[in-house]
Amino acid sequence: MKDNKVTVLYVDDEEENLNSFMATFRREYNISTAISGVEGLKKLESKEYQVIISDQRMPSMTGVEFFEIVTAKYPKAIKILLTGYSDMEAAIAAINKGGVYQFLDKPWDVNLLKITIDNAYQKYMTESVLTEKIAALDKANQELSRFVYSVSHELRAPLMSILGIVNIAGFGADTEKLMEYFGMIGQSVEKLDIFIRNIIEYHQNKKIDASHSEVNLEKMVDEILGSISNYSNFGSVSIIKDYRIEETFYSTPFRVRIILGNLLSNAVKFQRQDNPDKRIRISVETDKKEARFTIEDNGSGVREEDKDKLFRMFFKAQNNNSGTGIGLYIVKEAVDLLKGSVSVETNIEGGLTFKITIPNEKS
Amino acid sequence: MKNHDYLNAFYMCVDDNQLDIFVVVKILELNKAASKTLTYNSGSEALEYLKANAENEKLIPDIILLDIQMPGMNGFEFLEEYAKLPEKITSASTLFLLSSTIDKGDQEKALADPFVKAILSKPLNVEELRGYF
Repeated sequence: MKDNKVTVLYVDDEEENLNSFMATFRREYNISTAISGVEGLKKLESKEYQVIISDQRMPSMTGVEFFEIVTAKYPKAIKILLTGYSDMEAAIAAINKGGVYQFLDKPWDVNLLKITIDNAYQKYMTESVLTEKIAALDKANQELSRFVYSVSHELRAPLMSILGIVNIAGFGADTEKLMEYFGMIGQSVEKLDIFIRNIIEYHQNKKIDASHSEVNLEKMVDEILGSISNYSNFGSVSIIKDYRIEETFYSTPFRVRIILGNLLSNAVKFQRQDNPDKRIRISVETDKKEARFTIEDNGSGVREEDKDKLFRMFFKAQNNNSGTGIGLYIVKEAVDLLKGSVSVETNIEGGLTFKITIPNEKS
Repeated sequence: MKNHDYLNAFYMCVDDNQLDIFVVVKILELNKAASKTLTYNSGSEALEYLKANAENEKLIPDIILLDIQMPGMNGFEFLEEYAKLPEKITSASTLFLLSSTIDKGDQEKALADPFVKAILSKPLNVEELRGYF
């Protein structure tokens, strides 16, 4: 069992005081004592103390001198100095140099000292929590600026591509050329649309309410395929479906949809244009324990060194024009939230094979 | 003698987006600005070309139009490598960033780079380019 008592170090050159402190407080606090500043510093090396109490008048090293060193080395510890009211100089130095939280009159009053230690510990905890919170906020802020930077680029880039095409068309073009330009505009619109959908999914994925219900996987796959059937590649890709549904599958439907939706739309998007035999194979197996999905394509694939980075936010594999860098990140996030697993391999045809496992859980 | 005008110049365009490459090439063509255009989908391929042709002044582009947001090596990473190239390459070419960015950080970073003449906004506007010659 871990000892959750406040850790207190008490430094005093009078053995008697150390003993009486120990006798009074040993039940309440996890106490160590030291007979001098030097010994105190030694104790600090081997253990973290939350509250440090020191007598001011000690030979060789005064309490203030001791605290100056402590403050530099262990800024988190809260310090209490014991000194007489008459020793004004020490009191001022204690606050200015030693970073002392409070000083108390000697000989100490048990109740007052206890309250002071408890308050010091409160301060220690508040400051620790605050430090952690600040670090977490800093991280969140950095992520947010990166997010805004990338999002604004991803939103603006396809629009500027469209504007470019419109400018070119303004120079005059025959019907055939115009059709070509419309096709290009369509590509950019598609890209922007995918990105906007991804951003919405990214947000949805953060939802905490994620109740489980029955997922009709065949129906879901068909709905997804319907929603991407207007992609330019779609008509030329043959889709092979292979279901082995042994058990009704229960999970969070919108997350499963995010996962399958992104993987299927990627499989359609990242095809080799010159390939006359574009193929996607979807296989789904369910049993009592889990659902296993394999989504395989014979598309453009990725470079071996990029494979491990595919699930990172805003990572885009080289030479894949229509990637947004967010789809697979959301897939990974959704899979993790469902306590499942996802992996990717390059298959023999040079395309990608994604394997996903999601637990079959009613709640 | 190297060409120091934007007209009748040898252009190199570096952009991962094939559509944007198409737009730049077409705009240069329609404005009769380019005598020759070389396009690359990645910064590393463009650098390889420059290194391989360092000795042949004729093969070094007069004007480089470089995208910022590219997978693999982005525009700023390209510039770090570009700075290491022999001076005869970098002094022969005028480099512009051509991007859809409206980010202040990008603009500041671009202007602080000694090799960047200016940051142009997509889609390329030849009138804007002319302002720098």
